[in-house]
Amino acid sequence: MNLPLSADRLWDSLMTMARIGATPEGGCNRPALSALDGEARALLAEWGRAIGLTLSVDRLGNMALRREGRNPRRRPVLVGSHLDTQPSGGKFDGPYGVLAGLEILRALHEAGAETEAPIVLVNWTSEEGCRFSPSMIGAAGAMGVLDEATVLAAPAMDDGERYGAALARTGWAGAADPAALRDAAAYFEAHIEQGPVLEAEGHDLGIVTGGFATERALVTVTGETSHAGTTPMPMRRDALLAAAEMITAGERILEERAPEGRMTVCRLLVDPGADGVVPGAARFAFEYRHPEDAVLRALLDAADAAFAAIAARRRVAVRREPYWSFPRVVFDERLAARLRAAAARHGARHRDILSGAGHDAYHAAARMPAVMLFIPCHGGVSHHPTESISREWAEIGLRVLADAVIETANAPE
Amino acid sequence: MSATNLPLSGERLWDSLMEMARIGGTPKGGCNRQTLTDLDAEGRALFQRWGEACGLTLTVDRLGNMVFRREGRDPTRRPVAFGSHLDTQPTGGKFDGVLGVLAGLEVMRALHEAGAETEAPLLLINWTNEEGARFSPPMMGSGAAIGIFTEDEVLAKRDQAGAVFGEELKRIGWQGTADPAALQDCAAYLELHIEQGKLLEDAGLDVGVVTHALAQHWFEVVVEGEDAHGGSPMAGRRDAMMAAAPLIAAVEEIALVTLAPSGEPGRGTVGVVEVHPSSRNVAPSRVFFSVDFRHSDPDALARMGEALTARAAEVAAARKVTVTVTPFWYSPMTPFDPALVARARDSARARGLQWQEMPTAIGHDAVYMARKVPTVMIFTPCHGGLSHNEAESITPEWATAGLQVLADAVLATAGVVRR
Repeated sequence: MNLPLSADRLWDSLMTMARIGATPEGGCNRPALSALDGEARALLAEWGRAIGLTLSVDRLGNMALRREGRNPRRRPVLVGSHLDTQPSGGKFDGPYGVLAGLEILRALHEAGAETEAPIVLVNWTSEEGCRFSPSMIGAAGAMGVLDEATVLAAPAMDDGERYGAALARTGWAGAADPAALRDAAAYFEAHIEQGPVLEAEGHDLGIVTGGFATERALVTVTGETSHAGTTPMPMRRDALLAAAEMITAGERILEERAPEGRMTVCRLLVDPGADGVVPGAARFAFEYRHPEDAVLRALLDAADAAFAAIAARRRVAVRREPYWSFPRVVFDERLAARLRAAAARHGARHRDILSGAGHDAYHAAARMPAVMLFIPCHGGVSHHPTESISREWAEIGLRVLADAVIETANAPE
Repeated sequence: MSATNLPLSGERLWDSLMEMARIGGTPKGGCNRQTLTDLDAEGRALFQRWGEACGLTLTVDRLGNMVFRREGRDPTRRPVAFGSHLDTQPTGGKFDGVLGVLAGLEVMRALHEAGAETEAPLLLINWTNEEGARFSPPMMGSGAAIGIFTEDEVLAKRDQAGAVFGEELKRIGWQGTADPAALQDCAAYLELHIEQGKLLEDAGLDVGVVTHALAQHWFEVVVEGEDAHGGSPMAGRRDAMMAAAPLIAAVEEIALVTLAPSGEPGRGTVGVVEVHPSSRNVAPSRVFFSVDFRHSDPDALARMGEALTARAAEVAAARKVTVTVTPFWYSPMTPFDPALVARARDSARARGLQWQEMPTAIGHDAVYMARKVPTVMIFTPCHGGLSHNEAESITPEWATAGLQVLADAVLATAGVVRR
């Protein structure tokens, strides 16, 4: 099929979307279930209506825009991502996948073309997880990883507002059953890499064959608060010094045993957090990721042992409590092969790659054949206002995604 | 009448300490009598009754500082002031501050009992909000009296619940009309205090004569890298948190290895840390932390600052981040008055006490007063150096030794009228 895909129209839509929540630094601040998120959703709905898509919104706010197939009884092919951003987010993390999907449907509409199976464009609610924990909560609810009631009751980290209340407030609580999205033939998600590998190696595309296993925990170190002026160093039980040493030890363990893994400490809180006072407690978020479940386990065991040794030497207590974890994800090889073949046809320099970040596709993969396609981003920068991609990357990703989605929708199930 | 035959009663002092400690007494044996609370008002009222019972005249200034005056033979002479504070930390002890106020009261009681007269008038002061636990910063009453803070600034301070200093002062009924700055016009200021360290106890001494306040140098450190997704490869990151962690650890190391000629190490503390953006799944782009360096030796203190800057540069280079180290508060070494120091020393010697000269490592009302008024401090030991803690404790013998040295130095400064 010679589809009239327009890379310019995709780019214009990305830029139009980026005006909603635009920051002075050139990025986007469009948190899930904010008024701005509502605006972005309305814009997507309007764009969908313009090309005859049928919108249904489920009870978790997930938006599904359906283009009917020749055979409406066939299970649909899903394509999508998310429109919410980090507070210091960019223009492409999420919106690229949604709007590339939209461009495929626009081109099909313009060509008056039909596919065998329906195609459904999905905008998942609250992928980023900045306000409602965990990340990817909308997809988790739809795919049955979390039950609906749990998702609706999730409290916002800032003011405790419930997910369900925020959804109602922004007017995006729908009536559809989120579980309906499980009944699909395939899920495709295009996304920026959020790492520097593709660009550094001169690749245009990454065929994502799977994702890292991840475990995120809250580490609490408890020592004793004392006076910074009069307490000699050897008499202190400084929780912050112990935490700092643990963070460095965690980094060393990763470097020595599995440099291909990841470690992030995104938060560190100190109690009482006052000048002149030796901290009696420190809490930090500690996360390892690794492509292999067994290696991840071994890294965590090594970290626990190191933390315990530091705690004993410094006469403090330490507790590591995992609150989010994800086993290794393996994407569907048949779908990956379709992306690979399309990339070859289009002359795209491509490689297979693992995703270091979590994505809605991880949850979809639990219920249906799923795959992801990465385009590079400059310097690997993401979750940052300067996140950027080239128009060429946006275009090649669009073309390869379109081929694989349409091929899947037309292939015998 | 000379100082040495003044009928000072260590027992009466101890009884008063224990009675005051019942106001805000905690189950663990400490005190929670935070400034400008109802309990603070109760403590003040008890102190007022005690002062008036020995003929003292009370003045309260606009910041709630309480000043008891005992007239001298020569009312035109500038007064000799002494005192400390009755407010405590939320998990405070019975002696931090209170000892200095009630030992001062005991001096007044003994003079009253003996019918003795001094040449210069005497002032016994209870400063408002020394602890800074409820309204930050600490030492507000004395700081404002000598012009470090303006009165308006102090009155407008809010506690964490949003209560306003000035309103709380009125509510508990302790806002007076006197000008706090009047307290600058004193001939001397003396303050007895517990050491809040364990040097005296470890050395088996009865009393410390404080010659100066240690220099403190506080820095703000900002580590700036770049936000990165938690899934991005480690090699490409410029993670501010990973850079800050070894630098925070270095603060301790620098304190331990930077020695005075005597071999004494310094003290280094990171009390405040702020992470940006502090968002799930984002390797931080910015980490702020404060560094508090103290050292008995000003040269060593300077070397600590240099070492921090050098270490920051190493970390910045190795991790491709920028690290900015900015000094934000420097409290110079504050010398106390040599003549007053000599009087305290002479008293300790004359009384046959075991004593030594020493610096104070922490702020006191006296450290502010020393900027305008000749000042000295006297330390008594406290068990295990424990303070700002409900288990803070001293012996009645230590309290008495401190009382004696305070009384001797006050009377030597004010002059006793010979009959």
